[in-house]
Amino acid sequence: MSRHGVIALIPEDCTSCMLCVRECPAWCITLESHTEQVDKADARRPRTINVLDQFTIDYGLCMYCGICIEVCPFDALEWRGDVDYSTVSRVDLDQGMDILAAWG
Amino acid sequence: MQVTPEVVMPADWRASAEAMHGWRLDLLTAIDRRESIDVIAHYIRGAEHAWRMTCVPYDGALASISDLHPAAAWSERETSEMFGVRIGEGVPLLRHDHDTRPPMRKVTPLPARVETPWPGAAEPGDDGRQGANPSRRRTRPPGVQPEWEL
Repeated sequence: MSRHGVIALIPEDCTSCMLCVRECPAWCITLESHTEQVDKADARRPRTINVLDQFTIDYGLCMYCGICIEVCPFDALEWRGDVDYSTVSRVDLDQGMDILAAWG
Repeated sequence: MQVTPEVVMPADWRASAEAMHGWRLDLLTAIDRRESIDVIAHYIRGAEHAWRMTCVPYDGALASISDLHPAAAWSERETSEMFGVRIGEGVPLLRHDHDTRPPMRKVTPLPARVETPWPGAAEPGDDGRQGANPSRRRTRPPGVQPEWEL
């Protein structure tokens, strides 16, 4: 088990279900998504899936409770250890999807 | 570790603290149960832990135990002023605006929680453009009480 350093995102596993955003007691997660239709040859109707556009954790607000990791039904969030994410300005603590996915 | 607190009557609060002579008072705080304020105390002796709890009515009072356990002095003041229950004969120090409601009561709105837009209000796949899911039931943000009237 890795150290409880930061919370990282695995974007491929995220279904944009909003559970983590709604359970977060610090209101530090924002998620943007849109729907797309996928056409499968053998499907009778076209399926609609949610596509993740942006996922942000504001580390100026996060209290590292890990509730988002607990509630995620698809394990798209996980603890990662040993990441130096200190910044010189408050706004840079708002970490976007590309940063959250690259941590490791 | 004992996690179930021993519940005592408010009148027996001092006696329960007296019985804990030789223990160290680790924590004294309260919980708003919406019917009463539960005041809890946590004692430590070596590796032993003990919890004591009592239910004080909203307009009720509790005797101070700070002469028995000096560590209780500040916690009693904090609990008393933040939750709006009288503990001992303390003169208010932390809150001078007694027209406002005690901040730790559940009925007291947190202005930041009322003013800040909740990020969880968006529906999955709803980006405000075409193809958005129709809004279903309204979910209430965590930590926001129904009586705050958002």
